[in-house]
Amino acid sequence: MRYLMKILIPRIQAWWLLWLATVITISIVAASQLFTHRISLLLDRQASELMAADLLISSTEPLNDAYQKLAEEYGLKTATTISLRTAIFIDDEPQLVELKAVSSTYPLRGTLERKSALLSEPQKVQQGPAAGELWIDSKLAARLNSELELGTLTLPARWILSYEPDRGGSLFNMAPRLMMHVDDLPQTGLLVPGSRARYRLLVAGELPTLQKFEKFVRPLLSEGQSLQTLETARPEMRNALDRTRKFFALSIVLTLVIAMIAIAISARYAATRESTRVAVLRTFGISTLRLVRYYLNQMFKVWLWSLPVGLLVGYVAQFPLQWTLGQWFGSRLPETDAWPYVLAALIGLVSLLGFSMPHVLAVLDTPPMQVFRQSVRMVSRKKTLILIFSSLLTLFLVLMLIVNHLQLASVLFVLVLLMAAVIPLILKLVLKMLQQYAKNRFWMFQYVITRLLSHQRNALFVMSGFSLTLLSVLIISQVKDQLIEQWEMQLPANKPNYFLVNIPADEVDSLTRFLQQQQVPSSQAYALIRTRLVAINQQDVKAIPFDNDRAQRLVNHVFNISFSERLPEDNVILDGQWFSDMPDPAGFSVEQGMAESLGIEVGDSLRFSVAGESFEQKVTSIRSVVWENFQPNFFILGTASLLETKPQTWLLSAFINEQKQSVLKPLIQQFPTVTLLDISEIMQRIKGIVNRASLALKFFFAFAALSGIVVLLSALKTSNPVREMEVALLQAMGANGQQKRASQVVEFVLMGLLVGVFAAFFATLTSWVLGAWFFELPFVFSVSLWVYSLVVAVSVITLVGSLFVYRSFSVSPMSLLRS
Amino acid sequence: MEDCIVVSNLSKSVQAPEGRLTILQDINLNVKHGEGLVISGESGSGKTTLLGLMAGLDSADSGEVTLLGENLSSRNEEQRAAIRKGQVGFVFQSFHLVSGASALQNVMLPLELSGFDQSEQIAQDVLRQVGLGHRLTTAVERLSGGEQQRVAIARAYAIKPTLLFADEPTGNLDSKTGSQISDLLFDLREQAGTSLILVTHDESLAQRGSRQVKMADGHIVDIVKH
Ligand SMILES: Nc1ncnc2c1ncn2[C@@H]1O[C@H](COP(=O)(O)OP(=O)(O)OP(=O)(O)O)[C@@H](O)[C@H]1O
Ligand SMILES: [Mg+2]
Repeated sequence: MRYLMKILIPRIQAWWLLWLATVITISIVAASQLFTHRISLLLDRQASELMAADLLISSTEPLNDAYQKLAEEYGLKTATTISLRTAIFIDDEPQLVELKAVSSTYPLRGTLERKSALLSEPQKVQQGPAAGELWIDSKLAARLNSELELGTLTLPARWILSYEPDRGGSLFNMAPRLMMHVDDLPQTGLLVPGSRARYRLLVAGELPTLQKFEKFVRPLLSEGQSLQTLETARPEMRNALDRTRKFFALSIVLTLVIAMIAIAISARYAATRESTRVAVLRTFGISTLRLVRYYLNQMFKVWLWSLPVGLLVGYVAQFPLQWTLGQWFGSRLPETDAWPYVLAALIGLVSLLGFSMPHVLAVLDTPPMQVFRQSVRMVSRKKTLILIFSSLLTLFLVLMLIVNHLQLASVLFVLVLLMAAVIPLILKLVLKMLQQYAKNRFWMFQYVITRLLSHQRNALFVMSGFSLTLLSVLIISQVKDQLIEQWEMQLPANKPNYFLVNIPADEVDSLTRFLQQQQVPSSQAYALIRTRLVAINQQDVKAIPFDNDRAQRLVNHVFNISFSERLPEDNVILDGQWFSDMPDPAGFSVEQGMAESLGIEVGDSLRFSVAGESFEQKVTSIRSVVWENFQPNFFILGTASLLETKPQTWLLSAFINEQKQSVLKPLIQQFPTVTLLDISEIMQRIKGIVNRASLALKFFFAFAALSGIVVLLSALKTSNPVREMEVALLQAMGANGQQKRASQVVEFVLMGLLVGVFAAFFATLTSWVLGAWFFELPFVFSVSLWVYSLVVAVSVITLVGSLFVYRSFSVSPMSLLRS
Repeated sequence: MEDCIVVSNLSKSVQAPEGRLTILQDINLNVKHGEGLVISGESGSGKTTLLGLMAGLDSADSGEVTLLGENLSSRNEEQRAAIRKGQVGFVFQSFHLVSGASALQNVMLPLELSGFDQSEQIAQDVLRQVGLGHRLTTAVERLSGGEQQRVAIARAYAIKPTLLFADEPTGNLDSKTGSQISDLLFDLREQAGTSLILVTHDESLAQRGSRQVKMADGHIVDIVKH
């Protein structure tokens, strides 16, 4: 047993800081991977609410029960919906409605909201209408509690349906909604061939199972059936998620880099401690190879012992996160697989070996003479090169493992290197500059600066580590705020919060005039023409083998095209010419993403069909669209001359603020067919997602701060003998206690100040640069950032540092005579 | 005139693995103002220990040390330091300069700690005296061993100390440099009228003191007047 312990446990005293640094590294990877994985699953799920499911199969024909059975066999939850447009009679007037029949399990994601009267508070419910009742659109509020005739069935309108998660699916073509139970639908007799009903199977569950299900089902789909996942769903949501993910990846890499600095510095400290030992072993004639094997063995033990702790910490770290965020999410995080743990263990080993072995190898150069004379350790040039090379290689390897993308890893690699080179350099320059100031006295300002610049201190490493940590936290706050702000600024001052859709062509003018009179800001009105893309360059789209789901979906679906003389707001022409720049306006302008998915370029010809009639034009421009601006946005725009005469309804967006809510009633009365769509709800959701994500991120920088402290401790340990001598010397010269303490504390305060200023300055700079190039954000200066940065840096470094060096104050000045 | 150090019945022991180890026993010794006292003896005889106790760097088990008229035995570390302030200088075997700082800054340090104005001017003068007028702003780790010890001597003498303690000041230097350093030490002592307590192995150096205390095994075995 004794023997077992001896071979399993590394010499704790020498390696514990290295062990701690490795634990932190492993924890960071485990926690971040576990958490980001689970969070992004959850974010997907949040976004899934917009589909009321994680995945849906949609068809124009009744769906085979087999899919549903299959999904249930997989352990997934299912629901079915059938929607169709139909006319009902209200006061003997035909009224077009969007009827949706739902099963009792609907919705799988998100909730419904219903009201018992137009002006009462909405109540959240997890289930749609029961059999035998009808829920109606608020537009039909006058019909509440009366009987409505649906084909051959009469049902009482029991509730007003005020919110339906997946309603956005076809945002612009909505007649008032009627919702009923799916069991009642057959009795209405409305489901006849040619009724153009859409049958949907909604599926929800854990991602791995979903993926298996998707893989299995996709090939079984027949024509007219399409499978939709979050990725293929709403473009504005996808953009928001993509940004959030990029942001996550970047931050976690930074955290990790700091942990790796901690490994490198604590390894250096451990190696320095080992040098005497190595010298002694050398005098016994022990070969280099045996020493290398011995130290590899030690490293392996360090790794082995940091593994359980690191993984456990990583695992446990999820809970506070889940707990704090739980109130927001209101749901448990989805489970994940074992990969985060494996990755964490792997990265732990790679960084431990890569960053610490070179230091150990360098120590193996220690001449046996060191036993007799404490000479300055000289590391050969060759060993230095090995050290640098190995560190670089390790860094790149770790980055690759984390981001799993060569290009991104390379960019991050260069970025990290640049920081590693530039940060200490800048700090050194600042110190050198300070050295030029107040030179005619040595004590105490210049004394402290001299100490900070001394190699024995590793102060530049410490400051760099802390600077980077603090910098990252600050950047997160900055960028998050800006990210949210950006959305709000992208929107015009009077951001639209309503879409008015289903406007008959002959009411467009009177409606715009009405809005003007009521002083409601509104966008240009656009026609909506429901079309199907039938051919690209005379080739039937059904025959073109697309490699992406999105293309598949685009060609399988009816979508809206419009026309406009002016280029819509926030749109940018990327290729070709906008209609107004052409002598003879004609053709189509295609949105960039769609063009990419379908492989369309300027000059290709597109054939669309509208209500059985088809027409063909060349693509004359490719356009970028800001989907998040909540303006009417279109994949395809044509010219009025081509599209004016096609069957159409119109839409516009409007800003109806609190005070203007009173216009809603006359609006509904005067324009009974127009449907109002409140979109501030969607905005709130996107904001919520970003807020939560950044909160989670800050949590990770608690780990980074820990790494920073390990770096500080390693440096303090390394410099401790020197520090003790300094204190002893001051004491011999008759310095009093206050002077002794001040000499150390001022050093930490100064470090803190430098770190604080550095972080605040570069956070400001970086957020500007990142903003401009990475996230396309405008620059905002923040004063509170500076205050926060300085206070945090000074207090953390001074506190930890002072506590640590406290012992040095009790060292006997006799050590001056005995060293 | 009063003695600047009075040592009476001084004993010191330390806790060693084999048990309590007595390293100084029953030492009685006076150091007069302006005197050049040399302590010599074999390695391990207790020279450094005695020097440390006289300078108040350590505290005794029994017996008394009176340094510059103040009894050290009843005082703590900080109070002992206060007695040394501005009055006592040290020269160590391994220099103990503040690395990274210049020669000038090293000499300025004790001056400023003791509250001297014009520290820069004084430091420059003293460094010129020790022959380092041309290396004022050089960082001390760039200087040779002999030069570093000169800086240390300049640092010790800059405050015009009443007492100067030197433990093997030539121990890390070759014999030629060593003799230059000892010349310097004694010349300055002469000029400043400082009492010097010097520990050395070097017989020729020991000869230069006005008195030589010979130690063996924690005892004073002989006191020779030169
Ligand atoms: N803290 C201590 N713990 C154990 N033994 C000690 C301690 N301090 C001194 N000694 C022992 O006391 C004895 C006297 O030490 P001291 O350093 O005074 O001798 P020295 O005469 O200066 O020797 P040298 O000429 O080698 O410097 C030595 O044997 C030494 O090992
Ligand atoms: Mg000695």
